[in-house]
Amino acid sequence: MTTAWHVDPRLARRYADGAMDLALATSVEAHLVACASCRDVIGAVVPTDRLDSIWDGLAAELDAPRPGLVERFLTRLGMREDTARLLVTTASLRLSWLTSLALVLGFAALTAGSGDRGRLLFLTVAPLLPVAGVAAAFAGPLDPVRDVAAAAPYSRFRLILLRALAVLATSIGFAAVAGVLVIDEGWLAVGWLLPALALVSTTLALSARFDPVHAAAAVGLVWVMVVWSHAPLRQVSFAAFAPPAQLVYLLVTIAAVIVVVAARTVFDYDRRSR
Amino acid sequence: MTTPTVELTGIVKSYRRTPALRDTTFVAHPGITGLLGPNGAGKTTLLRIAATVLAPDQGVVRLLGLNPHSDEVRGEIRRQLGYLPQDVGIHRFFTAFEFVDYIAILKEMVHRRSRHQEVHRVLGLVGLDDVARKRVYALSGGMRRRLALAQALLGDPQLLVLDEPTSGLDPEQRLRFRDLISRLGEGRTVLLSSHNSDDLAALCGHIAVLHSGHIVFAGPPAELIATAEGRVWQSTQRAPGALLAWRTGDGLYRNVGDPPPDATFVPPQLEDAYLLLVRQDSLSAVGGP
Amino acid sequence: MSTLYRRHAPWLVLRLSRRCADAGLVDEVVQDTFLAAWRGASRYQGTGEVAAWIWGIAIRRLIDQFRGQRAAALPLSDVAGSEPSAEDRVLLGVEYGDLGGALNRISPELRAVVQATILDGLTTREAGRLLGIPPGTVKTRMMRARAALREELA
Repeated sequence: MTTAWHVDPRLARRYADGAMDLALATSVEAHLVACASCRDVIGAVVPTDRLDSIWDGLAAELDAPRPGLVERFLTRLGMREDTARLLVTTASLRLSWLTSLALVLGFAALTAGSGDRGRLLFLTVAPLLPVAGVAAAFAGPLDPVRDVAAAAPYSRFRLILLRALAVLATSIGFAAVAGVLVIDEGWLAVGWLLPALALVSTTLALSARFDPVHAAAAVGLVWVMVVWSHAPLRQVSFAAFAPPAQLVYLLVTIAAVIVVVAARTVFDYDRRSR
Repeated sequence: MTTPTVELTGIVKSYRRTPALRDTTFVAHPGITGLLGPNGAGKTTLLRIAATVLAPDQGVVRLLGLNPHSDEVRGEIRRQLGYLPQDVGIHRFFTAFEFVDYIAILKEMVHRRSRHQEVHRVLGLVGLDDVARKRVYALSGGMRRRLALAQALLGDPQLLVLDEPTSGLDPEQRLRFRDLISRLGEGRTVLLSSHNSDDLAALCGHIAVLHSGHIVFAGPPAELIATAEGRVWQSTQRAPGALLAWRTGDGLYRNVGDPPPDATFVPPQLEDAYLLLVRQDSLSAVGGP
Repeated sequence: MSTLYRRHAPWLVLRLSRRCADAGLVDEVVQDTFLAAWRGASRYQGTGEVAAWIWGIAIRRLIDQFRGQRAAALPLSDVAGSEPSAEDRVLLGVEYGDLGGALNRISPELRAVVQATILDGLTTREAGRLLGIPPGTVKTRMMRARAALREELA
């Protein structure tokens, strides 16, 4: 609607200072929506440094990454924004890793369908995946900013732990689903869980002293040997997943966690002589 | 005498029994200190120790008056530190902004908006604000190097450790870097290593020469250059007694070493002095003349 | 983007400041508004004023800030009850007729509710969040405001 009046500088000043009653202010506001020249008049009244500083922030936000689905989900769960951001950038949590994880488990699940031998294969593979994931989170080519990160104040131990837990959680999620589909016998469906915990915690404990990738490889190798030593070529045996074995895995996990916690400052400052 | 920002005393560090640093003592005060030395473990190792990335096998490290060996103060040192390694691999799928933002989180900049503003600021400092949203794989080598430098500037640290900051940069970029680094050197301590002696001569108030795991010279660049005074001369033929000689663009030979009696001397450059210093050192080590 | 910002940021800062006393919060909301405007530019229909569209984004962003623990920042106290000058009377008459004057005469809390629901066009729930009162209270105050205005205008 066309109006006969416009906002003059004096009125603009009163509006900006808040020295105006609601009705008049509302008139001004309604007018400004329609009139570009009066908006310019108002523009002269707002301090430029305030507008500049808002603009700086705006320019920064324009270039900033927008949180993805996972990141927003984690923040909604109550996680701190920066922690969620760190997790999301973990190599092994990226979509590519997750896809390959799903594929591997899918494959294992398929083979598990082929009788006991297949089930054993699945149970052997499932605990290895989180180990590989933890190693991938810190392997050279996948953690190229290692030196820069080492010089940063953020506790490397905390970072490693965070990522290991995230990788473990996602792997367990996938494996649980696949396991239930694959293995009919109740407890055996989650027989891979304690081994997974034992392997990951042992890898972390060894990472205090050795390269995480080497530690993961060694742990993986030992695990495969353990399983197949109980299942020589002729017969298939689930002895490696029986309750006595599970107890051993639990104890190994507890011991490894103690070591990791005790050695936590080692992760933060490289004292190793190579 | 003010407390030095960096004080490394009696540092020993070996890699698989090959010593990289043997009883090295190195000091740096506010301003720009250059580190010169041959390719090999020495320079980078020293800088990594100064950046708290590595602990020495033996020796005492004091950074900003604090000892990184102590768990409690290490974080405090790192908060005041910016490090640019020789090779920074950057995740290829990051955008320039995302990469610096990621490091900013590791530097404990928790609050999102102010962190983004700081990232924006350092990208502006290195001239990358136009490409902030470009993915790293789309950036040139020079741009990646500038990006790596940008992260070191986050939080305006008191101590900057730069390992070959200008490697891979074209001449114009190198000059821009010089400009930036010289400005950064005001009021801060900058440690930098370079193969480019022009850069070092132009920027540094203080130079240290590392050779065979020892600091064989520490002082102003002019002092180092002065040691080569009277040992660099011109001739029409390649001089037989020279340590090193090469034919310059105008047809004359430039020789470095022990001059003949009637030599035409030319003003020495930093690299001449460096060459004389390290060749001398290796000669005397071998028990030569 | 910079033209959009230059044209609309100043009035937006002022208009938001009349609804929220926290300058830092206002600055953040302005930033978020332009970000959203920049990203959602394709969704803008093109009919009606750009300014109105921007205001719609901004006021909703402001309300979002009040979700959760954040206490509602009280709007700046408007100068009420002072007699409008002759010039003001003309201006008021042009835009709102007698309603303008009547608005100034009802109590501040009722006025705030009227501003939020009628003038800013917020829902009861949004108004409640902005003013820091439950939606039920918004409704009752609206009823009282209508009654008071009717009385004033009669």
